[in-house]
Amino acid sequence: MGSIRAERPWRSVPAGTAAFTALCVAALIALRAAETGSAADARGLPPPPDSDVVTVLSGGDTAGAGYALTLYLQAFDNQPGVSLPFASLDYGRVEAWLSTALAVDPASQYPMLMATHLYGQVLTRPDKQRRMAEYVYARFLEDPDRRWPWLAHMAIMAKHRLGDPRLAIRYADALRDHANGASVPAWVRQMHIFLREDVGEIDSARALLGGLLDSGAVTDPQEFAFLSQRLKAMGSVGNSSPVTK
Amino acid sequence: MTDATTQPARATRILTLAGLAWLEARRTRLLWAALAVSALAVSVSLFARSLALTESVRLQISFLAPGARLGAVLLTCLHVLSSMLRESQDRVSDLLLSLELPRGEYLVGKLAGYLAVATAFAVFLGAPVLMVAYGPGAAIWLASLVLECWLVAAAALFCAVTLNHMLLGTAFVMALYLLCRTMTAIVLIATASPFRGEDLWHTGLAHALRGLSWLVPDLAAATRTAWLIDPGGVPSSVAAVMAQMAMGVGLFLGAAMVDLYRRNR
Repeated sequence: MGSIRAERPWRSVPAGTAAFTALCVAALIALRAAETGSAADARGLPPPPDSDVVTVLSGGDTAGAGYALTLYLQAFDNQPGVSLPFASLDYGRVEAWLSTALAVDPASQYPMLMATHLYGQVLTRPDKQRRMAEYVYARFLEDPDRRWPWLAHMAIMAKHRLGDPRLAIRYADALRDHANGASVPAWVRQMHIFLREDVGEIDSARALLGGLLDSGAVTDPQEFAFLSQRLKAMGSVGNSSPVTK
Repeated sequence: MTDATTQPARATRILTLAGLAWLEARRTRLLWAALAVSALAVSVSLFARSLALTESVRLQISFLAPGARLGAVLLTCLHVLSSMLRESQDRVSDLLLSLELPRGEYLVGKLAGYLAVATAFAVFLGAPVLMVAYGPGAAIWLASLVLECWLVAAAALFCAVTLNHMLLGTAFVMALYLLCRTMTAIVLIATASPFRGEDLWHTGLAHALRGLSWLVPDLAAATRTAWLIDPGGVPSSVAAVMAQMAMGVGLFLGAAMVDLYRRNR
């Protein structure tokens, strides 16, 4: 005896049943496709929930809650029918959301990336760029060894986008003074030297670079040779010297 | 000729099956369970109201309405699944199908009974909400809750026929319910975000999600508490949302029938 198949062939389904099912599918698709969506109505960014409340509601799974907060903030500028420019957002509220996300999940770099690469890039509003740069600076001081890439980016942005080398030097000094972990590359701690060189503080730059080389902190031979060449160039030209390729 | 003289009419057969499903709900004291869940939701909302400094009624409704909605949906899902699976395990469904009863009628009759039970759940759990919130918004909210429970009942019926497993069925219905309530947001994030890539993967994913969203009713726009607490809170699109839920009921019934007709037993 042959085994009994678990299913009968499709033709065993009555035509009326198949037609009824197909009709329901078609009607549902038509109804959903005909939806016009919500009316365009831009809302302001609300204050974030308290980080303690978020922690309790997350049931201890704070990493997920932190990402939920950042995703909410990230998607906020895209409301149904409206795409808000970042510049139109209340940056006080943006900072509060980012801070809550960091408080809930301090190990996450996501809020720092958003501050640096999203909200810090509003070219039309230098005041908001500066505000976000200061925000990143403050957050960097809380955890320098983990958050140094964001302040380094802000230092570059301050020099080239904001045209404020003094601000860039301030951030670079902070990197030199606080980012001392083993994972922090040497160029981060050397950045302040070249920024000073660029603004014409050749003597300071030369003294700092010479001190760095003498300290023995630079152990890579090629890096040592490159920095020595830069020190020599500073001494001979006495001004900002371009790197020869 | 034999059919006309010795077999009851189709409508009678369907009504008999529906009556049996209703009788089962009554005899298993299921409506008392609904009352207990309703009492729990009311107690929680009253406690929340007692803490309010202002807008106490609004706050109470904000707790009561979602609680009633969730309770009605859960009770409906669990009842339909457990009833259908018990009948299957007791071989009652095999006995019924061995009679001169078309499989389609069997399912329509069962679903009709479950829809009546689901309506009772919605009314029992929605009644306290209507006592606090009145107006046309409340009536539409209750009608929407009834349809939502119908949709869950039809989905549970489909799962009972297809999966024939309590845990899998419950998980599937709840996941589907969650998907229906979040699909609009998922599609919005996938298609409107400026961070979305333009490569084939992201574009294909966005199209796939949009296509999937057309196959599920938009429950995020159904049975909203805002209809109860905001004057003029009921949008004009509510009829379309209700039609979607009705079509969803038909879709799950049709899918269950197709599966049962192909089942070799």
